[in-house]
Amino acid sequence: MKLNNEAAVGIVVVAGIILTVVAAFWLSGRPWGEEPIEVAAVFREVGELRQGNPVKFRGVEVGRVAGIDLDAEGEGVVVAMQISPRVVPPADAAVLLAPASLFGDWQASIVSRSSYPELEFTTARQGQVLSGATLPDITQLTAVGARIAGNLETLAERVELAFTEETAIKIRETIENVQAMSEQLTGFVDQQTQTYRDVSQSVLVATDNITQTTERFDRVAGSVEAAFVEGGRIEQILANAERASQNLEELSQSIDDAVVGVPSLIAQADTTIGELGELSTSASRLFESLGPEIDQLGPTIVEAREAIAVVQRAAARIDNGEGTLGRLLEDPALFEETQAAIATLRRVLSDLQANPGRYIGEVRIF
Amino acid sequence: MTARTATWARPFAAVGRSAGGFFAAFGRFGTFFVEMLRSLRDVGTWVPLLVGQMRHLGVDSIPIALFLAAFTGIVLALQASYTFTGAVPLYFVGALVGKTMILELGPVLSGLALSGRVGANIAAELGTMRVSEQIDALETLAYNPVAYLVVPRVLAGILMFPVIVIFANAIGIVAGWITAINLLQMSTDDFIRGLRLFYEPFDITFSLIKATSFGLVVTAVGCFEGFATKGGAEGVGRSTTRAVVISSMLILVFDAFWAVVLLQP
Repeated sequence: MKLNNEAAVGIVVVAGIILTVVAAFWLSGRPWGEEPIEVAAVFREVGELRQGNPVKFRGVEVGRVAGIDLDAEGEGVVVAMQISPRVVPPADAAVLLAPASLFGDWQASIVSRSSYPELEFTTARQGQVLSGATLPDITQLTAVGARIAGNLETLAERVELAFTEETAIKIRETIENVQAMSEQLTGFVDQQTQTYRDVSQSVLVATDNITQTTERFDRVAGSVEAAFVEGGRIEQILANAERASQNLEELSQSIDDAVVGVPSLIAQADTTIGELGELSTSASRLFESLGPEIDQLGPTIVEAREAIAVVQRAAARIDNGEGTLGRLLEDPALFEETQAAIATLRRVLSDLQANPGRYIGEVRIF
Repeated sequence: MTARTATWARPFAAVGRSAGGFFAAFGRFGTFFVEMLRSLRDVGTWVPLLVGQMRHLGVDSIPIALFLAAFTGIVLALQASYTFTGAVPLYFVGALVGKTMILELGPVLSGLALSGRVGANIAAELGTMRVSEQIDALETLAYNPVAYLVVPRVLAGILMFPVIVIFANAIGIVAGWITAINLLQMSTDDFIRGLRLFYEPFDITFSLIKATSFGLVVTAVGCFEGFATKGGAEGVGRSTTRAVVISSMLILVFDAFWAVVLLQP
């Protein structure tokens, strides 16, 4: 049987239309035989979510993303989803967007908001709109990883720059020094341990000595007590000791008094010594300046001695009544005559001053 | 007196003639297309012929389209598994086969195959009618040759190409699925998971838009070249070749055009 044109074309066209509808419905993943319900959620951003991406509830695919659009205020993104009517969302239902795999496909999951306290969900302005949150895209995580890797690489490069051969040698030397110091510290600790051991031994010996001394002291105290009991000599000894103590106290007071004056005396001595020093300095300078004169003083003294000898001889002649002065000193008549002559001379000079013409007749020059 | 072209200027003259010829052909095609649109009013002429052309150009072309699509689906699945080995989960084979068949290879390969079969057929048929003056005879009989010969073919191509492409897409995906479960040890669930992974409802719409445009291109170019045939049997051969070449080129041009217009994010 050969189909006529109309039948053949009709069959092909109808088959094509049916195939298209069925394929589109099947590929969309919508369940057969049930009318999906519309659910909307608002997000700050939706990452790589696309229309047709699956919607899951408790891990089971229950619908598809039907539409994505900005909200009326333009501050968020409203995602419309068609899900199975069998889904019973929790009371605090929210929608979580996340990558479904590492290859860029995303999915929407209807979740309980309380199950994700660490996430910041949007606030739905309308009652029928669910709040939503978006997990970071894998590309963002890889970008962060790449940044961390870059930082590590930079750090490694810097460490490589800092850790030169010289640095390694220094570190090695440092380690060796630390090792040597550790050994020294170990020796020191051993030495100190030995010292402490010796001290402990000494302390034990001293303790024994103290014990023995204590025993002796006990015996002396017993003897003293016995002496107290006997009286007499001990009281006398105590009285003598008391007097000796008073004497010692007085002596100490005297010494204190003496000592009180010592500082001022020392101060005066210091002052005197200082002055003497200055004087010595002045004298030294004086002697230095007098050096040439002292050198000339010898002849002068010789001449002075000779002069004194002459004077002594003259005085001796005067004492002996020799010469004019001797005679004047020894002969009163001569003295009186001399006096009379001097008086007469004074009168002549007075008369000469009063009457010069009487003594001088003519004065001629040339 | 005709001015002689200098030797050095002859290549430029050739380019100028080619450009002039291109724009002249473009203008003739525009005139032809407008005449075709006008002829749509002559419903009584082309409607009775439409179903026959749909059968001839569409239904009878399905086997070759399905053959191409089936082998394309097989190759896609195998190449996808070869590419994804060790790096990408195998269920992406389904995604690649589905997306590639629906968006690209289904319409384009079907269009290229039909440009050879349908475009060449139309150009040869109408070219023969032209050189044998049958078209002139139609005009003499007061028939509108465009409404009688062109409109039914072009409408048949526009209507049937999407149907052919739908079948081609389906067969290509099924072939890929069979290949995946038999040769790649994939499960049907994995293949369907991948198939649905990146599916968007617009994918099928996009595929049908391209198929429609390819149907228009193949039939319109075939009719134009057939109507413009000159020079007897040799001219028919040239027209047929030109129809196939031009329609194939225009299919690729429109393929890029729709991708730019409709798939830009």
